[in-house]
Order: sequence, then structure tokens, then C-alpha cells
Amino acid sequence: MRKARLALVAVFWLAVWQAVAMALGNQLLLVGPVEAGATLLASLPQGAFWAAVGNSLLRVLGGFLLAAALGTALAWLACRSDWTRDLLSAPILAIRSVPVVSFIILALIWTDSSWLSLIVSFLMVLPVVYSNAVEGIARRDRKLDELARVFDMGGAARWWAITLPRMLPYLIAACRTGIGLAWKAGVSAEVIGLPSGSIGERLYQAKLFLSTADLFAWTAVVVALSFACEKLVLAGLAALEKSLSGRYSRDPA
Amino acid sequence: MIRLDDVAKSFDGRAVLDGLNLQVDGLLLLEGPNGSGKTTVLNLVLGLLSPDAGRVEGNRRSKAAVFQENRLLGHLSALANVRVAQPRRVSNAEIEAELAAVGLDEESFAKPAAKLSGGQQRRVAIVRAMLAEAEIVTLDEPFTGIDAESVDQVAAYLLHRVIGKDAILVTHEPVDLSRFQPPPARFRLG
Repeated sequence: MRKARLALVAVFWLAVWQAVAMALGNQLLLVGPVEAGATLLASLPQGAFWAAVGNSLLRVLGGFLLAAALGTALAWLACRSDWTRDLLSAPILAIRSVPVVSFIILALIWTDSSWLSLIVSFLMVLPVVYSNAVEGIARRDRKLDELARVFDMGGAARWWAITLPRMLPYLIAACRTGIGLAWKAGVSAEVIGLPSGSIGERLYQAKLFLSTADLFAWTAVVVALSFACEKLVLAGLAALEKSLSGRYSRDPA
Repeated sequence: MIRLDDVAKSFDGRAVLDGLNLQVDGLLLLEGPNGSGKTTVLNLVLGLLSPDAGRVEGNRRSKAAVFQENRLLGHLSALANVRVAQPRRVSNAEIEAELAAVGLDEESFAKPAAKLSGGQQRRVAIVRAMLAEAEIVTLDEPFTGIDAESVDQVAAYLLHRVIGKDAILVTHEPVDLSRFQPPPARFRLG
């Protein structure tokens, strides 16, 4: 029932979009979903299309995954020592506050544009994951820490049984926010840095040739990729959550 | 043997223990009214608190506890909750036999701890502590939540399991300790 309702809502907004585009009657200002869809379909058989998708996907997802892993590890370290937490607070605050465009320019000065979207998506996601993970660890039940101390539980058991399960809901929230941020910032960086064979380069070309249909088609691709990445990452985290519940139930080898 | 020599402990300026001298050699039944410092003594023995004055000796050995609260990991099964705290490899069959010995039904073994009743959770917490085979065991109101008909069964299990260990039992339940030989020492706080 809900799926049918959502499909109807989607059809409604697509119809509104098409109606507005037809009313304007100017394909330079706005193209409808039919034209954007046709442009996208025409691109699908082209190798260059998939190369651009692959390149951008690899970098943005790579940056996101690196940030997720490092943010979690740094949060764990920060919660083990006040010194580490204070030491990390300044760079994390700086990364959070500095405009993304400053990072893009700096990254272009330091390295070539092929690494740009990876670096930028990494920097956008790192503070989000770090802050959420710290929050998750800080809100764990301290009495379970005492339990671990009394029973002299090892570091691995503490991590898998106490810390990670408490942190996981916060990581899931961070990943939901972070994946969208990674795509937005990563593709923006590509538009500025123009790494060859990237989605950002194709968007820039759409602007250069005033091809609104291409702009909409590539935007739809970015939205679809962001959605797919979110689903993939969340499925991975759900599998991890399930595996945590089953941990320690098996007979030791 | 555990010794508390002239131990003092205060919280927010209120003295809970002052000049306490206590020896634990075998099973000790620690008694006293609410607020007399029983849980504080247990926490000192477990090393979770440090005394403001005096010394706690003989507690640098392996420890296990049944805390006042169950302190189970809600997402893990009853069986996994027991295993995760064990310093040695324990088979499922061994854990299941222990859980059955305290009256936990078979269907509950694989259930997440969060879905067990209070009494079932308590049994899991007890087995977790007993199976650890620690040299020091503290039992803080271990029969809380356990139905009256089962208290004797669980008490028998506990008392059998703490033989040869230095253990402190805090309970308000009228437990039959006559089966325990030698008879446990008693100490009253407050």
C-alpha cells in the first residue's frame, strides 16, 4: 500500500515537472523528465558514460569508506584518553568549519585533480562519523565497563560486545548523512577540478554547452548513485549488527 | 584471604565506611541496613572503588560478580552473555548445563537477554559469574527477581559453586545456609 502511494507521489511530481517544462517551452531553462530520461537512455550504451560513473563512484565511495573507518578508529581512541580527545578536537573542528571550496583549492595545489573527489568526500564525512561515534561511545552504559573490568574481559571482547553495539546506531545515522554529503561535495569538487572521465567533468560540459538535458540526466545519475550507496552501506551495517548478535553464541573451535 | 584494614570511604562528604576492619576467608555473609555500605564494600573488594583511607589486600586475583543490577548485554543471547565474560573456552553444552541447573528453560538459551524476564536475566548473571571460576566472587542480592519457589534451588547452586573461593554474599532473602560447610562467617555493617 505504501509502495503504491509512493509511486503515485513520484508520478505526480514528475507530471508537475513535465507540465512546468512544457509551459515554459524553453529547453535551455528547463527540460522535462521525458527529455532528461531520453538523454540518459541515449548515454547508457556509451563506454564513456560508465567510465565516468565508475571513476566518480570509486573516488567518492572510497573517500566515504576511508572517513568512516578512520572516524570510528579516532573516536575509539578519543574515548580512551582525554588527551587524545582534546588533541583531535581542533583538527576536527577545523575540518568541519573550513568551507569545502578551500579544501578543493588546497587539494588542487597539493595534488592532481584525480584524487580530488576522494579527498573532499573524505574530509566532509570524517567529522560527521567521528562526532557521532564519540557520542555513541560516550553514551554507553558505564556499568558494562565495570563488568568488563571485573571479569577481565579482553580488548576484543570489549570492542565487539560492548563498544561497537552501542556505537552502531550512531554510526548508521552518520552514514545516512555522510553518504549524501560525500556525493554532493565530491561531485562539486570534480566540477571545479575537472578530473578527466568523471561525472563532475560531464556536468561542467553540460554547463559549457548549455545542455540542460545533460545537466538533469547527470544529476539523476548522481542522485541514483547516492541512493544506491546509502542502501549498500546501510545493508552492510545491518549485516554487521546481525553478526554482533550472533557473536559468542557459537561453540569455540 | 581478603583483608580490609581500617578502611574509610565517603561519597559527597558523607562517610559510608569509617575504620572498617574485615577479613574474608571463604564465604562471608555481609549484613546491614540499607545505606550501611554493603555495596561499597563489594566495590572495594572488586577494585571498582579505592578507599579514601586504609587498605584492601588480597584482592588482586581473578574476580567475578553478580552485581546489584544484571548488567547483561541485551543484544546477546543468554548463552553468549555467559561466554563473553569467560576467561577460558567454554562449550555450549557446558553453559547450557549451568543455565539449566539454575532453572532456565531451554528456549531461553538462545533468546536475546533483553527479551528475558527479570528472573531469567538474574539466572544468566549468576551463571556468568559462577562459570568464570574466579578466586574472588561478590554476590550482591543475587536472588532479586527470582521467584520464591526457586530461591532454594539457585542458592544451592550458588553455595556449591563458591566452595573454595573467597566470596561475599549480600542478601535480604532468608537463605538456608545450613548446608554450607564450614558455616559462613557473618559480618554486620552499620
